Amino acid sequence: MQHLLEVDNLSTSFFTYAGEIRAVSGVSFYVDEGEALGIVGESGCGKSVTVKSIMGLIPEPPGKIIKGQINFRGQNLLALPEKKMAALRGKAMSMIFQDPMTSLNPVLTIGQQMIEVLYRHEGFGKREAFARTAEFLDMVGISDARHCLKQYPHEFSGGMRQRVMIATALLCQPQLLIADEPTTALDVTIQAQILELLRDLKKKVNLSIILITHDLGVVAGFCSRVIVMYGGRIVESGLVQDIFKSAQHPYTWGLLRSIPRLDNTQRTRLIPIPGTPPDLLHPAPGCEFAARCPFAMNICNEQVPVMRQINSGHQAACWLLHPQAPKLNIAERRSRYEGTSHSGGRKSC
Amino acid sequence: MRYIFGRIVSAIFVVWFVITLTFMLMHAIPGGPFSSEKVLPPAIIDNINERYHLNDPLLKQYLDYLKNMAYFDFGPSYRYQGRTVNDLLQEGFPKTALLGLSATILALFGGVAMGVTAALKQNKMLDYVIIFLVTIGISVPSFVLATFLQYYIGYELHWFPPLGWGEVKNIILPVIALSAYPVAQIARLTRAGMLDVLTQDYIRTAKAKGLAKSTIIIRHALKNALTPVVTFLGPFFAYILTGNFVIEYVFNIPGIGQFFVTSISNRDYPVIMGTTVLFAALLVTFNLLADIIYTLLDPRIKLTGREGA
Amino acid sequence: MNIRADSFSPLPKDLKKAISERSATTFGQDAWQHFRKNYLAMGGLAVLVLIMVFSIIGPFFSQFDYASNDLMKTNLFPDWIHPFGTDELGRDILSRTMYGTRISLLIGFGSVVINLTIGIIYGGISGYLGGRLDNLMQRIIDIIFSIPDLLYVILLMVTFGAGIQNIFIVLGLINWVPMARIVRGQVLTLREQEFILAARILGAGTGKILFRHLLPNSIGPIIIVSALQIPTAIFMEAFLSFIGLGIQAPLVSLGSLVANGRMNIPSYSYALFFPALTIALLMLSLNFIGDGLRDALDPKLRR
Repeated sequence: MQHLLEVDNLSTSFFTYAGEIRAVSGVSFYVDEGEALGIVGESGCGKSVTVKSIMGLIPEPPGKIIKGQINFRGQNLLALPEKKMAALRGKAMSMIFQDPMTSLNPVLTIGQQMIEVLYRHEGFGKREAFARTAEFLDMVGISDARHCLKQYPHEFSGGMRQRVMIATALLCQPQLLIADEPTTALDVTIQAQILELLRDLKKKVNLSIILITHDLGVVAGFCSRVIVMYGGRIVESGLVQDIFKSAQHPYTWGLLRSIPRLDNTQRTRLIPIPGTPPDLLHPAPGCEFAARCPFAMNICNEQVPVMRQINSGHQAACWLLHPQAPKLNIAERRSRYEGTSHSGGRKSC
Repeated sequence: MRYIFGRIVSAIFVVWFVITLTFMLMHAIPGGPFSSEKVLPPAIIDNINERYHLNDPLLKQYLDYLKNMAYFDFGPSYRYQGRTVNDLLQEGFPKTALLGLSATILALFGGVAMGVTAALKQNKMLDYVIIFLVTIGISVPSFVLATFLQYYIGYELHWFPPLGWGEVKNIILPVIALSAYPVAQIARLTRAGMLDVLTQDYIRTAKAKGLAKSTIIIRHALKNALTPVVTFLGPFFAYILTGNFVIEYVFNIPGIGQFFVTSISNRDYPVIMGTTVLFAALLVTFNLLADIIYTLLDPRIKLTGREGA
Repeated sequence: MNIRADSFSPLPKDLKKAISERSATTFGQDAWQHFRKNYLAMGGLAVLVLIMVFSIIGPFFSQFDYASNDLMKTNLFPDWIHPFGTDELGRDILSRTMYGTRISLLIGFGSVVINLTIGIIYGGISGYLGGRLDNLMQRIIDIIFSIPDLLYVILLMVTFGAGIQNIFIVLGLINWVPMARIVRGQVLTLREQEFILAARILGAGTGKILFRHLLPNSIGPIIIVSALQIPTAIFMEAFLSFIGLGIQAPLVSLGSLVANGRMNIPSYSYALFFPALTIALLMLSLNFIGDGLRDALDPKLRR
């Protein structure tokens, strides 16, 4: 069966005055129809660049997609001329962004910014466009649509603006919605509302969603599959239950430990992964995570680990999975992380 | 409304300040306005001083001056016998205004067009050409540029008359010389504003919506990019007004600017004071207008108080 | 794949640290790197250095004085003895241009030092003490700011009379306003930060906090404004000299040379050309340097 979206060996770099920043190197994954895929990782791990490459939103220069293929409905997007790409954007695939406060144009009304999409892609008349816009605003839970359309973004709260963004993205009934950290900039209660809204909409319109987040907890309740990225590469990917129950990569272990859990009575403190994110201007010869990894071995600093199949659909790239590597048990995993988080904690205090 | 009222009050205050300052400065100059000329008998000097009320107590002179200013009466000229400063200003104003207005139109349209073009062609040949022209416009002083234009275009190539006033072709060189600097500044600000706006999240949103490139630039970017240009309008009017001094002087145009420069060497204090006050009044009016335009461009700013920018 | 015996033994700690600290550049290095890659700014710097050498050292190698005239050699076309020609009194335009540039540079840099001093004190006090005093000081600045500098400068020059000292005084009296604004803004934002609070708790006095803590942290914007004020001052002096209010004969400045050259323009254009070219190059290079400094020192503006 053909996938809706297939990304194959994608590499995107930014060429700055300081040198080449390899934001994404050799990333491959797919999304099926009606499926929700989560991409997780810290800021700067390449999640956003990956999806912007799909949408053709990489500013060029300084950015450039150096290699790879992106197939959407069997069409290679990287070979499409910009005009055809623009015709796809906002129609067949849409995107919503992290910061709803800055993602809407401050000098145009909400109505102007929504209706222009329908003019552009559907060739709607004024009346039709207006009706559709009001309908979608209603769908995302903004009731007084007629009034809202005349207002400017600064008169709206963050949650309201994100609802407007979602409504705008769905106006032309796209097959794929990319949500780039849609809840990060919002209050916790609003976050839950927005996620609930997305989940609802996904069911209603058979939408495929790529959800980018740095929060594994959000993924757990929303997606069927997860990709974990670090330093521009995929370090682990699999079904949600694979990742949560039997993660194989030390970075995923670290991420899992940093989720606050209500059922955990022993420990209420959130544990960050010590160390700083990698410097992609000077890529490491080996595994990017080696510098922060409590299990790092000599080889980790020398060679990039290869992706290994754990079971069908679950794979990870770590030298610990090499047959010759020492085997770790759960207790050891916990104690090693404890050690680093303690020393890290003391230093930062 | 309250904000505008407050702005008008402070504008009046600024004009009063300028009137007082010019009055004090002109009276602080050692020796009267007529003492530099050939030695006159004391009786005649006394006579002249009497005629121009220079023997009155300073305070009375000041109050009289203020009163006259309130009626836009700038008094008699010391040098042009039998003419008042008002006559001179009235005679010069249409020429200065025409020159200033032409330069303003050229600067706004030319500058914005150049800035947008440069931003859209960032780091391409056309961008570099525009940056080069802009830098020359900013760097070369207006009087140097005016003199060069006058010499090479006027005297050498005979394309346009190097001096004088009265015909359409007379205005070309002065307007180019006067608008070079503001064209360059506006182009620079527009380019920077455009480049800044093009990296904004809402432009990314517009792209993600699949809008046409022209729609993104005209509808989403330009209006936002022009806000820094509007903040430059105040200094811009100031430049046009003061730039006129030297341009009219170089091209021998009988406008206010030329009167001002000649009155400086003539020590014709009422003309100096009158021109200064007139310019100050024009300027605060323009600044007020620029502020109002600013609020029209950006719906986030309401006329309620002092805005952050 | 190349696997050794110790490939799977733990990675030494110090090596790990080395990986994570692969690169770290300080702010100053970063700024310099950025400035160095700005060809326009570097070109401007080179031209400025050339002009400085030309005007400061040049006169020692010239056999002509800027003021001595030779009525047998008036209005000479440029030749080997007088590379820039002579003017209507037979004075060597090359040495006049060199001396004129000296004066222009002196006024440019000198008046910025004055502006810097007044601006830092005024802006520092206004921003640091705040409250009603700050309000009053800002109103004063607003009033001064609402009228073009050039108008003040002309009025004051008319009052004080032409001459080089008066140019210094007048430019010093007027041009500090932008500096004071920048310093105040910087101090206002920095004042609220924790290291200032820490210094105050440790008992540092107002003066010490201002000069030891606040100023060093606002040095970037101060440098930028100073660099852009130098061409402004040079322009103002040239403007004043051009309309006869500035430098008085026998002293020369670039402005008075241009004005002088203009008088003879239809017949002897070189008397105008060389001084005008020098002033244009000087302004151009100073503006490029100023822009380069701004780009290098203000990371927010980079792209």
